[in-house]
Amino acid sequence: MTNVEWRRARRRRRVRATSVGAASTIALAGLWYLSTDGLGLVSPLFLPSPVAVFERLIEFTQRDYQGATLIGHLFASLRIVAIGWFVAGVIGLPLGVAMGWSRRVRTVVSPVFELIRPIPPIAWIPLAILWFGLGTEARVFVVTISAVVPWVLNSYEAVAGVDKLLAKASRSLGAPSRRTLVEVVLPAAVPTLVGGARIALGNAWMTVVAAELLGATAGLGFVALNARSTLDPDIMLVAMLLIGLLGVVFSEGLRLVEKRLSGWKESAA
Amino acid sequence: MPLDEKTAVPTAHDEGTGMTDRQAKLRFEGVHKSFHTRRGEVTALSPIDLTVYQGDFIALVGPSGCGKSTLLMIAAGLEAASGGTVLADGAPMREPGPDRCVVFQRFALFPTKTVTGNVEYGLRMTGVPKAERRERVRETLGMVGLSAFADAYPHELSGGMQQRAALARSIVMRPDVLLMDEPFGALDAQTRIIMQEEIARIARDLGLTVLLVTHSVEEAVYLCNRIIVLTARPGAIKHEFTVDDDWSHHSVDEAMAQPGFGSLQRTVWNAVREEITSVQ
Repeated sequence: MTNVEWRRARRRRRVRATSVGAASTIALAGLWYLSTDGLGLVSPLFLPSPVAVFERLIEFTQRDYQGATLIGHLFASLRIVAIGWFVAGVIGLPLGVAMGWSRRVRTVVSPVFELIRPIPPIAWIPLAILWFGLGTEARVFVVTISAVVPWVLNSYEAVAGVDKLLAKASRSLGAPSRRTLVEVVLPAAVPTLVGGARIALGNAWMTVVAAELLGATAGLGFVALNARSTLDPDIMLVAMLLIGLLGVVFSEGLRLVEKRLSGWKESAA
Repeated sequence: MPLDEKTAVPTAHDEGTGMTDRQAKLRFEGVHKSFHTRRGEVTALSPIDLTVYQGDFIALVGPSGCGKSTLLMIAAGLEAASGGTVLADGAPMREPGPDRCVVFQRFALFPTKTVTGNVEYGLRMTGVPKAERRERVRETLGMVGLSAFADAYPHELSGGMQQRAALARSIVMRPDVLLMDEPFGALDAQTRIIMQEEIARIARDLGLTVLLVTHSVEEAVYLCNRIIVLTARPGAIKHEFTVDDDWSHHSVDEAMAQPGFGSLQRTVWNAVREEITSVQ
């Protein structure tokens, strides 16, 4: 198959996948509409109709709900996620790289890390309250914890997964160990490192909702939680849909970065 | 570390008669290697004594697992010997270094760097100024026939071109001894012949000193002036053959058509075969 034909075939495959995906999403929305507004099978207090949710979304961009508009709540959550993700990266990236590069570091850190790893981020909430009280710091702490594990694991695997022969070749050409890491190993590890950043951001974003249990006064998770107590399911669904949508945007955005930085690799078939 | 006389096994071969006036580039003195495994200690290499002189092209041949690659990696400083001394240019060596560059079977090109980036790497690491680097890279790429691919990434090259790039990356350093670990093992049969002829030409043009690990007796006879046959594990020097005719001036097929080539090839192969069948 020539290159042009192969590209065309790939484009056809992609168009097909996109249209099937779009069709299934529209079908689900249609089902949602039919069971609410359409046939009135469920009460709007149990599940509001898509039309009501959409109207509420538009209204929310202009009018306050619990002290802030959509943008205000969005930024409240984003700020916690951004800080937590960044702090986790500052700790996790060098730690993971060091574990991947040095057996000594791995021996020291691994047991502690393996012990911490299976603890779900939410289980840190009591400790967060004990240490920081109910406030921004506690929320940042829990989000950081959720993001640090994928940062460490992927950085470790990224470095450990680079062909050992490359490091040998580098040493043999006169490069000391540290320059070998910087010049040869880290560049080859970049795609996997960005993959780790992506998973860490996903974790942080999912955890922020739970973290907003901790005395938050703004944020998408706070909106969803508050909507339950004020019996306002429209806004609850608005918040949930936005959480989902932004999760997709982050993930796909970093996937693009990952692709950009893998230009030296063979293009994935 | 002084040579322990008790561990040094006298070797049957005549170590380079008439070559002793040449400079010793690499010397193994009682170098041996053993591993710890679950079933106890396994000796991979019996004490080896071997001197590589300036201008030598030496082949290490022997059955799989005889430790020939291990010996090469010890010379490179990429594996530690269990005992004995390796003298590089007269001084005991411990670290890997560009005076003993390695060409690997799997090329080991840096995937994130272009051909130029790869070839320039060792020069950059050893502090060669930029202008001189550029000139030496250009010259070396010309020598291996890769001038047109200076900006290509390794994955864009064929296997033969990747091995040319790997070769260029090593010879640009002008090593005292070039260490080659089955450098043609990953290439198809046609490409291998072309590359053998290229190596022969380049080694002659640059006056390289080479230590080559290979499975192919034919390749050893064609390229080398000395052929060391190792015994089955634990590897020891079984016999050293001297190649009197320089076949590398011919093409591979011309050389193979000569009666002297075939008879030496058979003699060496019989020595290797004895070792292979001894363990089977």
